[in-house]
Amino acid sequence: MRRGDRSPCLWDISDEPASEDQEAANALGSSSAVSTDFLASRMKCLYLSYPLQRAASNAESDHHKEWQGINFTYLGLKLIDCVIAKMAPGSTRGATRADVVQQLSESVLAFRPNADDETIGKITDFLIENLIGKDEFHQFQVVAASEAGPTSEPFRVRLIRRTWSEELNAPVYTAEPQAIQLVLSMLDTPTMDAQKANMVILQEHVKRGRLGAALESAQRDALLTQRFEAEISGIIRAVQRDIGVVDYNAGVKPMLDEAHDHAKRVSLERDRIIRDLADQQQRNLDREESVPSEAIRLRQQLEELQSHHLRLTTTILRAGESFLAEQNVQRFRVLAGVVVVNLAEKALYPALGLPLDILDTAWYGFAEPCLGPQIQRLLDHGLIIDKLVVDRGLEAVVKDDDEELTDVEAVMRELSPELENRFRRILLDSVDGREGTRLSSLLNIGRERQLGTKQLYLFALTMLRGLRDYHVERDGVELDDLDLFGDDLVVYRKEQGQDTHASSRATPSDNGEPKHARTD
Amino acid sequence: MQEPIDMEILGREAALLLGFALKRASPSDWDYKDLIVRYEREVGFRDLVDGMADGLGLAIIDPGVNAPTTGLAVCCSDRNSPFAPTIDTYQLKVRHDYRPAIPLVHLGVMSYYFPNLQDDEEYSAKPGTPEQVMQHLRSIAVEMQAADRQLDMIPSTLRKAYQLVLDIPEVGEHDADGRKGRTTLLGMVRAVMDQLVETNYLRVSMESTEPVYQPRQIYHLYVRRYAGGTMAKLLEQVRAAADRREVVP
Repeated sequence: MRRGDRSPCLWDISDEPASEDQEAANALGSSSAVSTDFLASRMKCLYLSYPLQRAASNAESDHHKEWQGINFTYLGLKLIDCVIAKMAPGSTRGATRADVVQQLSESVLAFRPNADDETIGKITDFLIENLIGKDEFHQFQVVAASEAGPTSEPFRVRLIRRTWSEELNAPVYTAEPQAIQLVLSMLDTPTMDAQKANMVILQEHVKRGRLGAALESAQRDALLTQRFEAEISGIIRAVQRDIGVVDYNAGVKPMLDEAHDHAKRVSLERDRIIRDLADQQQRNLDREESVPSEAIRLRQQLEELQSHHLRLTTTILRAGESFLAEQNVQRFRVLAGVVVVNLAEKALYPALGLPLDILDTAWYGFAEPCLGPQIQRLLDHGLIIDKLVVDRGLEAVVKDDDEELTDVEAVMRELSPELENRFRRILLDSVDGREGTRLSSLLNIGRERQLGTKQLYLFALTMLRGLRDYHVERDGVELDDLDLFGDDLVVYRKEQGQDTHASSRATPSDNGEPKHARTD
Repeated sequence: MQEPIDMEILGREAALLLGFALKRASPSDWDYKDLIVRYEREVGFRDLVDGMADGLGLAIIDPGVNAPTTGLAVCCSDRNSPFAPTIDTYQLKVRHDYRPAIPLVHLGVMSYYFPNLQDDEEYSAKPGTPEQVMQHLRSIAVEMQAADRQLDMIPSTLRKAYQLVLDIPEVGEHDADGRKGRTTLLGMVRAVMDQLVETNYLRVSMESTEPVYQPRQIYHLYVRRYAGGTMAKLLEQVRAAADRREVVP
């Protein structure tokens, strides 16, 4: 096929060089693999920011604890901005240390309002030192894909260098082209503009038959569509979150209209490219020529994007509906519906005028709006321990001052003498010293003697705790009782002169004389 | 591997912001201020914080334009929220049969500090002592009693809430300053105000010999944008239920 035969949208399937541009690229000696490898250029882009990252990580390391909270990435970018600004036409060729200090001091003060000149100077010197290093390049290996497999080529990075200014008779700092490239690549172009520009580039690539580059542009188109989608759903979510804070007609609607126009235009352009590709494929098939795989991939990718884009357009068109739906929901939502009221008229007087019996039952429901969320305080262990280990001599003083402690004491009442007497009577009548008596039979005797359920509980608890002159033992037999469960303890009467602690193997609570025990 | 780390950081920051809001911290803390600004500007972060709050039974009250100086105010979005005040909140502070008067005291405190809530978008740190708040509440109760007597339309059997306020002795014999006052109105007002100090809504200063309580800006926001309106709505509902009961024999 001769070059003159080419239609405006033609890719080359012969062995000839693809286009003049490709030839030019090869003539310049750049590896075609690297120049078209999306990953390699992204690797380079990433390495460009390395000096900044290193400066930040050095500053935020443990060696400089006093600088915690200061964002050195931000300060580093500011420093680069300052240096580039001083290189602008009409200004001195580079920034002096004083320029940099002046530029950074405001930002440092924002992080550390109390920072003095010395600190600001130290921070500036540290940044300069770290960004420049020893005035050397940082060396990296960029991996590029080629037909023979991945190959690596060196890539050197230096953002700022120190030179001597004859004009100022002082050292100045200048930005390397890589610093300018870094700043430019960081500048955020509005998504819609970027997508429009990318579409033109894509068209141009397809027109000239540069399929590799066109695939790259299509990939970029996919990324931009993703970003566009995120922005649109962000707007819609903001509307859904609180319609009260957005002015739909003045703020949101024009934005959505613009997005819709853009989506329509991009979609039409993409459609044109897809049609051109399809025509070309058909033409190749008619001529019984093979279709390059890249062209098929490109068309598939663009068609997928197109269907995704159509869904996005539908979402934009339905944003109005979702706004109306949200308006219905949110206008009647409890929180959003709360209006600022005249407190006395709408709350205090009506509350004081409520019938008292109603207030008695309803007051608790008012606690939440009155107080708001409460964080439950945990027990103050220090205080509790102080109270527990307090010296007995001081106990009385503490009790007097502390209402809470009094309440606790009140709960732990002693057995009433009457009840204790009834318990002792049961024990006296039924417990034999040597044989011992089971708790179950004692409980039955208690029931016969008209002890209530609660009194029976107390009786069992008293047995566990122990009474003077009696001790209990556990032999593993289970208690079979209507109201209680546990071990069927055996209760013995102590022999005369038996040591109190000798029989303390029964229960842990049975060691020693109970505080409340009395003799009859 | 980048994703989980980002989520971890984001989750930590969202929880940090909620923690600040729950403590009613002062936004003089740089970290807190940064997080508030992010909450206002970053849709994703805001959604995350709102979602976490919702899961905890909390809601963030729309802070308006002053959030970076006021802080974020939170309320319980659900009665079963783990943060909702429980009956234990007042367990030891007030005598059992006087507890229904607690919301009345709260309303007294609110209306003392913010008498023109509707018009006052700007917050002012008006000082007040428990004694002044108590007098404010009592004077309104006395006024309502006088109005009821003049109208003479209310059956004497139907006691009203202001009568409970008037029944509670102002100060006790041995408790003139209401410090141990589980049984006096001054003691109750002091207990409520102390609780508001604990909750970080009020601050206490010792300007003279007596402690003076001042509302913090977050309390103004909370009352203005949430508590006042919610109380009014709840009272309306309770009132309507009571009226229905009176109509039905």
